[in-house]
Amino acid sequence: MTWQGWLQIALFAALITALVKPLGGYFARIVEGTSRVQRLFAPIENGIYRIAGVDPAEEQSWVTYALALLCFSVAGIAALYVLQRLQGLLPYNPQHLAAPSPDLSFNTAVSFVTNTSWQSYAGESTLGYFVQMAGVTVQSFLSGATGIAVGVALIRGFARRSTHTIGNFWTDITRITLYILLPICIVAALFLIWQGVPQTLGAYADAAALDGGKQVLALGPVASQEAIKLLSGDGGGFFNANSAHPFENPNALTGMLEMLLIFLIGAPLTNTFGRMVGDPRQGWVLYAAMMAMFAVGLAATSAAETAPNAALAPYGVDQTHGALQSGGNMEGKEVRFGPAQSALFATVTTASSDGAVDAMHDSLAPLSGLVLMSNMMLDEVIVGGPGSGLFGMLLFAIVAVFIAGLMIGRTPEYLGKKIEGNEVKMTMLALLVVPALILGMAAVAAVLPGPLASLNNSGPHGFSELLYAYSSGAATNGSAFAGLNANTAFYNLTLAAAMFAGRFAVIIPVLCIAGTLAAKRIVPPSSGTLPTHGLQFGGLLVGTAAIVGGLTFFPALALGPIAELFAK
Amino acid sequence: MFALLGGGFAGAVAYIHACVRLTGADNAVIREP
Repeated sequence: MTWQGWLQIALFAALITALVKPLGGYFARIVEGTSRVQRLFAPIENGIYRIAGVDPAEEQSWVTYALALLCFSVAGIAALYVLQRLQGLLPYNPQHLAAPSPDLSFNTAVSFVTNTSWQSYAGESTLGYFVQMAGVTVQSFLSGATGIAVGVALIRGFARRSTHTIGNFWTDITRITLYILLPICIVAALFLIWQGVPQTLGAYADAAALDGGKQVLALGPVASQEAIKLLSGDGGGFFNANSAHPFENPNALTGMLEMLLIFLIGAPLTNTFGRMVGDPRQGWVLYAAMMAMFAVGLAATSAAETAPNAALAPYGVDQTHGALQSGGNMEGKEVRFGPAQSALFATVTTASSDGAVDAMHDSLAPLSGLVLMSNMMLDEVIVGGPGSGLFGMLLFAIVAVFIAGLMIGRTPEYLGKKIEGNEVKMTMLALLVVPALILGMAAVAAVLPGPLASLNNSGPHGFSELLYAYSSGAATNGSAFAGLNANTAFYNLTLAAAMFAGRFAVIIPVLCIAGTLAAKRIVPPSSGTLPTHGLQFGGLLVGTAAIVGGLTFFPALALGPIAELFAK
Repeated sequence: MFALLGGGFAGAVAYIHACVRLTGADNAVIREP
């Protein structure tokens, strides 16, 4: 790898680590209602509560919190579905794009409300500006806020004692949207506009091509959608090429900003967790565990992508780094970014639940494909989506203390809360949902002739395309391996089901854990308590996640990327 | 499609109730003073 590639990784790691503490503190003050910013904008916040009929002082049990979240999300799916179906009648549609089909509209609605952003369509030829702004972008904000709210509710479960409540869903999403997502997105959108990302309601432009022909340049309100696409863990591109399109991601600087935005909430939330439970070291352990797993994945993808493409070697193609080219495996990559940033971006986007892409994942080396799928199959606990990464990692923390408790013959405790049957049952339920969806649905699709006809490749690579699609859907990532024509009734509906279940069948047990933990007393630590703020617990946590993920998915991965890796 | 969405919603509500039955966690709503 070139020194520029190393510098890029070092800069990214340094910047995101430097932001963990200040942003984590800010997020904690916002969700606890103690920030000065909040007092400044109190009239706006209180006005929203008055219009919505919400009493911000009312606390909710986990069941009420879950029902509020569910009703809000289902209403969001219905609204986005109707908006798409009525697209032909709506304003700001200068290209006069027709309404998408019912199954595609349903898939898209579920996709954006579940924070997945799987796209079976090309944005520039399917959705008008009104649907992009009032539908897709709005749901990007709300689904991101919903994930953060669930993460915060689980933190309250650990932090509170002897209570039946875990917060107020309406207050949480209002504050998170107003004080966290909106301010960051406004700044990021302005930065992107400065760097050349379009923000217009005008029609597509005609440009003269070098061969004398005419080329239509798709435009639109891109910058405002781009910012939240990355920050919310959503990842759905305005254009089909996503962040590989020069109007979404014009240069290496915006590429770096986009990667930082993807981690900008998930990483600092570990610090928010540490602060709210009264021991910041607990948050740093989670962050260190996340970064350790991230480093292993990044080392593999960087090594695989900066090495020459073996398929081109017999033809004598020059793939070495020089003044005129990046070198390495350039198939499916943007020359503006090269293999080093593409490997970093691909690892960041699957370690988080974002799913934005700046390179063709179908063209990555088999080892890289293996890493990306493994990241998603671990339910994206390596930073993960806003909130969802934190609660995913806390689920593995519960399993880790449970295993440690079994080894030493003592009732497991985590942060002073006894981990008993109820918590373990709900944890297993949440952790088993995603594997069951991925493996079950991929197995069904792999034996039916119709779904198989949608694959561009046969053999292990074709199976990888299939496995990647259901991993991306059930883990609410949304990135596409591509090479799979997913715009069929079968894929639209089964992927919608995977996204819906992969989101809510995990969130509900997580909120239940928050409820049962909040009702418990906090037991003071004793000499027999397993310390959870040090390297030993960090290692146990990484080991638990790796072993659980490895045992669950190794057979399926062996049929896809691993078989491809060892094929002659 | 609305029938599918309704089915998903009903399934999720049933799932919440299953979690309540499994854990015995109740549905008390408390107002802060």
